[in-house]
Amino acid sequence: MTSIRRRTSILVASSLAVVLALGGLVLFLVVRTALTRQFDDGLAARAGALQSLVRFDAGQIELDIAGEVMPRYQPGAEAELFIVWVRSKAGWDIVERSESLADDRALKWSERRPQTAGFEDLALPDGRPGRALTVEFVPSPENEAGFEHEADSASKAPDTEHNVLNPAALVPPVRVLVAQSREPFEASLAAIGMSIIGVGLVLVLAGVGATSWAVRRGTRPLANLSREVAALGPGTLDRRVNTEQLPSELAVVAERLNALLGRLSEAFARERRFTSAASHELRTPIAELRMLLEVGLSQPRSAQRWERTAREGMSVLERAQQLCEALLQLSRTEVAHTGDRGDDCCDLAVVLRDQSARAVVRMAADPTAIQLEAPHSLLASAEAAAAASIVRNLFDNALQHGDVDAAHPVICRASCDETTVVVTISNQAPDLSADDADRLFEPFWQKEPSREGDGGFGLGLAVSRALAEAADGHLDAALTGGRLVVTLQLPRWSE
Amino acid sequence: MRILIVEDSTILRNSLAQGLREAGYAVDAVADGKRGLLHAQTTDYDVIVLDWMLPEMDGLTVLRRIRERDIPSSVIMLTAKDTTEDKVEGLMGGADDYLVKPFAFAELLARIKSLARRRHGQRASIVRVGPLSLDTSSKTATVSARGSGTTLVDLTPREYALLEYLLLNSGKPVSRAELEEHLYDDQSHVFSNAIDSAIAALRRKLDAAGCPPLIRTRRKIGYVLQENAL
Repeated sequence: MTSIRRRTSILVASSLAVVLALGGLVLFLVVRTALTRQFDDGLAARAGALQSLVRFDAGQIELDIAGEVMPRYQPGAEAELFIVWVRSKAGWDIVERSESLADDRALKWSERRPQTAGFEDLALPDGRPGRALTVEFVPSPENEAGFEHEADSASKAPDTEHNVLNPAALVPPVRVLVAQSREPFEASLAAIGMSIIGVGLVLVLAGVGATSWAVRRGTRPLANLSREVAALGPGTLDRRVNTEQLPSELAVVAERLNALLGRLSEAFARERRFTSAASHELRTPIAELRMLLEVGLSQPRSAQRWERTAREGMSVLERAQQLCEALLQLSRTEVAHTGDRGDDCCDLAVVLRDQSARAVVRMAADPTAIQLEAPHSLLASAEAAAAASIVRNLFDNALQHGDVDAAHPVICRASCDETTVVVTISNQAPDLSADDADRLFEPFWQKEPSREGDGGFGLGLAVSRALAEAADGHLDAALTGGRLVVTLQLPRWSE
Repeated sequence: MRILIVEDSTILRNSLAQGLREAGYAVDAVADGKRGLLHAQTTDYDVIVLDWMLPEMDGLTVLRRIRERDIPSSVIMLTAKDTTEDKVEGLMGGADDYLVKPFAFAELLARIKSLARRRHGQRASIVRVGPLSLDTSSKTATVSARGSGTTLVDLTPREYALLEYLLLNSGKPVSRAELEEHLYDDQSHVFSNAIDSAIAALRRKLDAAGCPPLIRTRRKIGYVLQENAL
């Protein structure tokens, strides 16, 4: 798995390398163009100098070097060369060539036909790469008198009538080729190219290092967060990610993560308590049965004694069965919290009246123990059996724990607004604390951890809440002025 | 040996009490923490079998109160709580042993015997004074007489309990009241001469097995079991 830091470093370094390569290439091309222009300017200057030396004198094209030695064109390793052609009837005749073209090979090379004007890359006589400039021009006559003289003599010829009329036309065009080795130019260009590549590589390496450092530094909060999150596990759910040093973008993520961890930790703790309580409740009947049988078998017993043992064993099994059924009901109710319940409708006012009457009889309470304040009808969107089960549990609990000396140990009020039907059932609860109210709906939670007495398992309220939530409702409890107020909210039924 | 069971499950409480009584112990059994603490404070129990989850007062609170009041009884916690944290909490609270439900009665019995021996400074299951040996595991008493080998002493559970208590406290005078407290539970109807009668019967049986007199009467104090009692 590639890390963000590694990926970002590679991307930035690659981008930097591409940019630097393109920049180096462009720079090289610009330098090459400039150097070529400079090289060509040199050739043009030399060609211009030679051009200025070309004279048309006495009907002849000549190079007016007056016996001067031009070191540039002397034979040698760095020698340059030139050739001067004049146009003749047969073609182009060599008028003059540089002394650097003196040897046989050079002479043979110089026999080449002159190119049209312009620059060209070519191979020099000695095989070196070179560059040449060919210019074509018509030299100016040496002097007017001479020209006239020539003109006069030319006018005698029958085919030179036109020349008489236009003396300049008598001067033949001349081509001058100036060539120079490209080796120094190429060497300079190669040196510049290598310098660009070298500097580019150094810049790329420096860029990779700088990028890696910058990315590492920039992503350090991310790495720290990643390390902290990686250290989290089921055993460390009490830990929280430190948000103080995090940048704002990550702080939001970390705060959400901390909130999630909080909820997860709470859910884990609830699950552990449930598992522990379920295990505890299931171990007890097993221990009872085992002890009954072990002690019973430890000595010979009468048939009457065995019958008593069997009856006690049956009562243990019945309670264990009730526990399993209650656990199954809780599980099924929690799983059933899905699906469309739009068609379920029950009159909660009827359910309350019916269940309050039944609860008073069931719990052997005073007929006025429950004070019920409810409208004639309260239609709720819930299954009637589920609503009855919830209300039955709530009344039983309230009557069991309510103050029997009060005029009305249990007060039940029901009302509704546009969307919700609300039922509150309250009773005196002097022994409960606010923390107890929060734990009332936890499976198996009982204020008095006894397996005897009322025979409950502490699952009734948990099942009731699951049923309420399955009907898209809520069941909550709060301790107000020493009274436990349990509030049931169900969606109001609408056509 | 007298044992207190504090357990809110009626079936478990009654079964344990019956099993332990049949094993020769004097057993009191109560169903809630408050009564358990009251019993522990008023009677010198050798071992208290204490459930954790109890009405009125939970077992851990009872245990802490017992230790705060320096009650010397050994306590074995009996609970369905099986996590390491629960066990540590119970043992740190002052329990001498911890047994997770469901458990085998034989294991509970072995642990109770071990705790009872340790309370009286005995680690081995066989206690000897002179030629008399008592095996607390098999609950048998034997006498090794010169020339005639080893003779098994046929004792009733009550006589065995009396001999065991005297042997575990050998060399120390034990009052009649103390013997009554450790040999009879609340359900027993004890006559005023019950201990003297039991001692007389025990002496006769030991004598018949060839054992020299080991039990000496201390006037107005009680009895002491030691070698060369005469």
